[in-house]
Amino acid sequence: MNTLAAVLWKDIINELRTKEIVLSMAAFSVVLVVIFNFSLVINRDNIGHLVPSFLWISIIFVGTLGLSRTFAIEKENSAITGILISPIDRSMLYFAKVLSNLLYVLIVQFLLLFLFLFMFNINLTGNILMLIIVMVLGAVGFSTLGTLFSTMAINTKLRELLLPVILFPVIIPVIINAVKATSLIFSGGGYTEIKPFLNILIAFDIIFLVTSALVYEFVVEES
Amino acid sequence: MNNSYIKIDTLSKSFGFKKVLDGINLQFEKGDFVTLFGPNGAGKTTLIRILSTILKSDEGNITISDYDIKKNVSDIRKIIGLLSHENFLYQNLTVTENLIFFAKLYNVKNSEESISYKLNKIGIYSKRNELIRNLSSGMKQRVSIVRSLVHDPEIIFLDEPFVGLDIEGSEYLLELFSEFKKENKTALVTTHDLRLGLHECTKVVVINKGQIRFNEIIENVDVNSFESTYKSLIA
Amino acid sequence: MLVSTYAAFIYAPTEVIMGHIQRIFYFHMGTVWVATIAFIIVFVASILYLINGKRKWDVLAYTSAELGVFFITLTIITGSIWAKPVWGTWWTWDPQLTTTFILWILYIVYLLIRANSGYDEKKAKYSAVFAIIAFIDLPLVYISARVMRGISPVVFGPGGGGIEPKMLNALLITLVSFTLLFILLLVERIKIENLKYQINKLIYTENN
Repeated sequence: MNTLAAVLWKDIINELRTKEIVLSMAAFSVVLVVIFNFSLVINRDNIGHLVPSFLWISIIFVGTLGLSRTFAIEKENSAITGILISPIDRSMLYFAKVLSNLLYVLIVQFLLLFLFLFMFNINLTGNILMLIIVMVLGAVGFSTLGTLFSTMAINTKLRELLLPVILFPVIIPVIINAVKATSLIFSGGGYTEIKPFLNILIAFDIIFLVTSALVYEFVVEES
Repeated sequence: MNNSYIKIDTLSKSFGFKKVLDGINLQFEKGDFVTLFGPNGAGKTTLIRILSTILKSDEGNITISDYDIKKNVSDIRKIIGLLSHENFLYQNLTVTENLIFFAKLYNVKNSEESISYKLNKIGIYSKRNELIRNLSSGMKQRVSIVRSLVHDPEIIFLDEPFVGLDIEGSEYLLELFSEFKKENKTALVTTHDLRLGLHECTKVVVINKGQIRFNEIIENVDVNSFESTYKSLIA
Repeated sequence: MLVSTYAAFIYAPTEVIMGHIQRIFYFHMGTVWVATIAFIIVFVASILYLINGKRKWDVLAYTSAELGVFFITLTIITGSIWAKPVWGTWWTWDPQLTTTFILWILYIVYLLIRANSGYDEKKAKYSAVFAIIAFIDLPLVYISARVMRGISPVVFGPGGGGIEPKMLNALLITLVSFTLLFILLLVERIKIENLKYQINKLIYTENN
């Protein structure tokens, strides 16, 4: 647990000092929302479907940008080797990296939500607490496999290029359920309507948090 | 029970079809100071990487302080340190932040005091609050020396430690070597610098093409003619 | 003996696909059945590889994945041909089709990882990790696709009820012959892979 906090603390200090990850993610978010604003014709009929879809597409795109960077920091000076020779449990290292990725995704996610609401003149009338829960669950799902696969991608020939190719098909359940739940909340749906989607999101998060922690050593260690 | 402190038994490792280590057998005792000579691509670094648990072997067994490297790897990790020509430091953290971070990975309590002491000794205490990215490569390497000693390891592996180190830094390192010997710590150094390599060692091993070519205690080595011996071994 | 088994396998499916368009159903079922077996083998072999690191498990996973992709491609093609006259469309996004499509993509990605991960052990490890994640992911994709279409998340509904005994026999024969075909192809494919390994090894030692 101490080691987990140490790795997380190190990542946060690093980010506070450079601000490179969150800033580039935020800049990309603004650009995306502006492009969507130009290219989408939004009216009262399709707003409930289009905005949640594009919100989650943006989260996935912007999130992927950040994922590649968080592990690249470990590769500079081979600092990760310094971690790997220590007795730290590989799953602890995994959880720490998930948490730092999750932190960046959450920050940018709520920025994106705000940008969408602002740029498309939406008055959020639905259950806001519910929306936060859905967004956090979605971000966790994205970070679990995102962390695992970004570690893998950076060690291959294609590097960052491979990440979206391997990550996007696998997180389809997260996207489907998060989009559905979000659009239900936008249209004023209650807990009972959203519950099936929430359940799948929770199941996804738990299953892949556990599985990834188990296989992380094979990805992070050299062979 | 085997009696040797570090025991390497028929160790082999291949990358693809290339056999980098081919049936290595070595035994070292506690307090040994071993220098591992060999040309580039001889398998020195691979051997060090396997011993420091960041690479797995294909065949063979290793025990360190009676721990099996396959079964008790985290026990081994607690007592070993690794210094390489890569410094393993985070660019955007200060010297002290880096060292405290690595100390935390080993659950070292109250690490600040001993870190300051070690920084002082190696002559970079004044740089303690500088970011790593602003240091020269010689300075980074000195920080890395402290990093590898942050948990006071019993065994230290040094892979080409003199590369990238300035003259002053090399002297500090040689000083450290004699201190290791006083504290009865075990060290394994790889280098191709014959002069620096023979400085403090108790054992000399020459490796070439993945095989041991020479393995003698220093008393049996004629230091003056070693250069020609070495050249004939790696020819 | 090899020739006779080959003849039997090539003979059996041709018998079935002849004639009526609906008969493609047997072929369709045969390919999807074999693809399922193939992907289960990939999953199990990948776990075993990560546990003991033996090359044979990696070869089994890889060759099986390759055949699985081949058969699932046939499933999608035959399914479309069958669906056109029956449903009036080549493709719909119903849960089963969605899942099949994503499954197809996942295992193509698996082959892509193999092509880009560098030397042997890393390639084997990374693809094994991906295979495990992808396999666990599939039920979640299926449930999500069901929930998305507003169908309550029951994992598997019962198939068609009244099936004629003769049709059932034909189906069983197809499944058995496809399974045998698969095993034969897999064994041959593993042999080829091992020969390739031997040749590369010889070339390597020759050059050094």
